[in-house]
Amino acid sequence: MWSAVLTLLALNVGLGVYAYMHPNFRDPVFDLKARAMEKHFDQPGDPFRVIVLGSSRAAAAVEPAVLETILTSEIGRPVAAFNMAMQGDGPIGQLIHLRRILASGVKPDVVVVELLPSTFLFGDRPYDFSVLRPERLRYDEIDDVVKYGYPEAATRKEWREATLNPWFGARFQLLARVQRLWLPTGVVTYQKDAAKLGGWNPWAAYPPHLYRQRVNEVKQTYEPQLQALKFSGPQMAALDDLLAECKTANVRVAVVIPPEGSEFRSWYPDRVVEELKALTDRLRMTHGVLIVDARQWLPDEAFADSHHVIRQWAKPYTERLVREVIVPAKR
Amino acid sequence: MLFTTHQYLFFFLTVFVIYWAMPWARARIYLLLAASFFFYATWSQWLALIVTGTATLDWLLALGIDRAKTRRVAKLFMLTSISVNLGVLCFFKYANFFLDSAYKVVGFSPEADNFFKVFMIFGISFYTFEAISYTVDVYMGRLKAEKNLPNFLLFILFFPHLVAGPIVRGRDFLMQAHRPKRWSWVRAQHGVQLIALGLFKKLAIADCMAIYCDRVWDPTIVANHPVAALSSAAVWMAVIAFTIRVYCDFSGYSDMALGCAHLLGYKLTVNFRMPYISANIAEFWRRWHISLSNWLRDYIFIPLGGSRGGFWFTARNLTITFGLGGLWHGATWSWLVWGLVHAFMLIVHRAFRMFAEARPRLKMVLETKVGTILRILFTLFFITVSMVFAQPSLKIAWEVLQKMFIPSPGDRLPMDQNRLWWTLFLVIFAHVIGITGIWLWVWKRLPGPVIGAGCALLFVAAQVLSPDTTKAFIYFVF
Repeated sequence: MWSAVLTLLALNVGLGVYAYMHPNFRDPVFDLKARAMEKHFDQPGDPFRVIVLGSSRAAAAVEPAVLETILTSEIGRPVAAFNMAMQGDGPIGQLIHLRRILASGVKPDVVVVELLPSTFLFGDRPYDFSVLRPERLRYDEIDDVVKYGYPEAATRKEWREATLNPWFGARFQLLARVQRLWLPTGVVTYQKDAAKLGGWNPWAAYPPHLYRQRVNEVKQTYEPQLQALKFSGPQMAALDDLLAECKTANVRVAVVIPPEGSEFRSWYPDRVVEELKALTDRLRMTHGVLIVDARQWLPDEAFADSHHVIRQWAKPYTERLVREVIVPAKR
Repeated sequence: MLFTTHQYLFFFLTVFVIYWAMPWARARIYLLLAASFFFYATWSQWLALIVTGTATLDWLLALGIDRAKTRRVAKLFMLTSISVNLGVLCFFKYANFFLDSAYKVVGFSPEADNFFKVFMIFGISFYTFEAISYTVDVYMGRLKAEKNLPNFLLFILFFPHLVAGPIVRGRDFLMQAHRPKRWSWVRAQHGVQLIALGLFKKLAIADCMAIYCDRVWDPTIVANHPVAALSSAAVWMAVIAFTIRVYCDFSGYSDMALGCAHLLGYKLTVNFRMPYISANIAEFWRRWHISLSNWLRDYIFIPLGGSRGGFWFTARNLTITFGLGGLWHGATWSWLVWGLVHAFMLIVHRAFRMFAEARPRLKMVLETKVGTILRILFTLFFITVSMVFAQPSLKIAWEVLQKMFIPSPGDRLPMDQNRLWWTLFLVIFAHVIGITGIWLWVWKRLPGPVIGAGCALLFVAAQVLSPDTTKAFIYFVF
């Protein structure tokens, strides 16, 4: 029995120490991309650096190689671009990840931030809580996320449990490295090839018989959320803080409302559309940032499920993004 | 408090440390009793009081049976105890079943119209059966009535087995309560091994299989995503996943219950002996939920006459016993059908056994290795199909059966099937090394520290492989 206890202690202490010495272990999804980004940016010639933040939508829609080519020809200077968008990243996730990027010493010239309405949902907790779980956070980030609406007791409890029982707390991180297919659905997955292609995660189109099923599933998830959406609550401060911190760090920022298919757009109630417009007006006035509504930029055939851009349409979208968003933001 | 939570770990460690730190045997009884009451009260304080109240009444009635001057009076006390326990069981478990059926007959919708519904008592099916078996055993002279109330209350309320069994007999538990407990490293090791194994079965296997089978078994999911939308292959995968899940969930709980009891110096009944390797349905019921099948045999089947009459008399008794067994599992028509399906399988097995007994060559072929493997597969197939009825809705069960046996296209299950097949392989592999004796051969030769390290690794693996949500044990609602 003592050997069982000692082995258990050794395993937990061992993993706990490893996690302490490698803070990014808690968030391998971010860690993998961040390391690849740092390596990509470490080029001779001081390239113009562009980082894209956002959710899986931005990860699918923005093709960094195209961005670099087009922007280089526009500005006459080498460009290094990286797509740091991650599955489920809402305003809080984007802020946390940007802070980590800036703290690591990487200073982008332009940051493209995604303003995805559905990620502002706040029931009894912000949308980000369901994706950027406490076990993915570092100790000094707990106070921050609590400020933006994470339930304090539950957040600290989960973080503590994950720290004291690291094999349970980091189980998805560990399982994702060994056998990603074994992760339960809905868990943010770590993909070994996520950092290839500059962080771009291209989507394939669904075959016709699956397309309808997929859109129906998306509708069942998003339509009620959009009906209940209100642009208020503590998570709004995360977006304001993100824009303010970019300004302080002398990083130019552009905000993009990502493209959506007509079916997805039809699920927005008029109230939410008006509130979204009021929000973008306020952000422009408060922070002086460029905000572009790209929801109608692409035709319906550009989407896998009415909201994720498919591979073939990432290039035309990225080209337009460079010309209408990044170049103006640079100025 | 679920066994798989940190709260239970903290609770159990506290009880365990205090228990073995105190040298007084009586004080340990009171500690376990208080801990058991607290454990049940974490579900509901009122229910804990109800259970304690009815258990106290059973204790008094059993004393009355022992001291009764006439057999008639003793019988009256026994019948009173049975009536009270069955009354409590019927009210809290079956009232909603009859109310819902009555509502539907008259055209009301219980959910929509917010009609009267009775709340469920966790573990009610288990403790009422224990109480009934106790008073019947006292009446039949198999057991003397327990004079010490705390000992008797501990028999009913003992927290490792309180909410989901095993169904313990008075004669097995009460004599243990009287015996002073001494610490045993061997016993503690055995307990820890059982807990580690149970945790692995529950977290790494059962909870993960739930992700596959909930698409068919969870009424809240099915309400929005009908079974009819799934493909036949997906439904078969869900059914296989459920078959794995129910075994690992329940036997995992039983393992943890036995392990916790061992760590406190008590031995509970083994409840599962690899039931999926049964060569026929009768053997299945000697290996699956052993404490329940023994209870049904001793307190329903045998009093009805058992198999002492002819074939049809036995068939009648099996039908009544397993019909009631089905209802014990769930207060729905679907569970009743499940019980009747098993009764039917047992009757067919009896008939076939009689047929084979009269044909020695056939019997010889059936008892060869190939014949036995085929019988195991055949039995497992029918058990798997019968699991379709192990759910709240007969309508959904029928839809599932149609999907299984009339091939049709449709949606896939939400999770990749890779993990399902690896889990199935693991379960088959575990059974193979179990029945061939390989496991025991290796186990006996491993040094103690290696076994200990193995338990720790099993514990860690259970945690790494557990999915996002920890589900309550299936049998907690029985």
